[in-house]
Amino acid sequence: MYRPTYELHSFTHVTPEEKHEILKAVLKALVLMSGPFGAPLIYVGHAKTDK
Amino acid sequence: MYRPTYELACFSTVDHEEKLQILKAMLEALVLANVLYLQHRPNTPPLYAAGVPYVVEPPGRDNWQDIPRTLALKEGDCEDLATWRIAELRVRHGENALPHITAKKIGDFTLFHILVRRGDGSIEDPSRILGMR
Repeated sequence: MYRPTYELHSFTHVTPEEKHEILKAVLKALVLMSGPFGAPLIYVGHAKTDK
Repeated sequence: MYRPTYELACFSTVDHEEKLQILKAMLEALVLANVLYLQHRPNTPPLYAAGVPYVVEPPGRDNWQDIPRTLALKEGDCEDLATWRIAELRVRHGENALPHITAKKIGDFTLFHILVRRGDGSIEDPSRILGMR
């Protein structure tokens, strides 16, 4: 299984709105892989826990 | 540091064109993180003056580093360097640079390489410029 890991040190330098934009871009790739249902919802839930 | 890991079981079932689409979406996420970082940190050195050589990752590791992580490690591989360069071209030169992906089949394994498509359509390989043989 392909398991790439982002290392986003910049997450501590950007605003909450910009974090949201980055997360949306990360999710966009996952939505592309997952189709219209399923995994993206799980990841949106995960993303909400990020401060 | 935020370290999300994709677990892409689908990568063994989708076709080659779909893999390229997925990789491009993942690369755009890293480009965006780098674009925002450069906007916040305008004094960040240009990639080619940052003293960051291309270093291949050990087998089994595939870390997609943003600019500050690459600066801290003082090394990067193809996607780290290409996404830095693309962000730099977009932010500092107003250029519509994009990820460019090549693929080489080695037995059952496909080796992807990430480069930069410049605004004029030419291809630039930051990895080669920074020491990849």
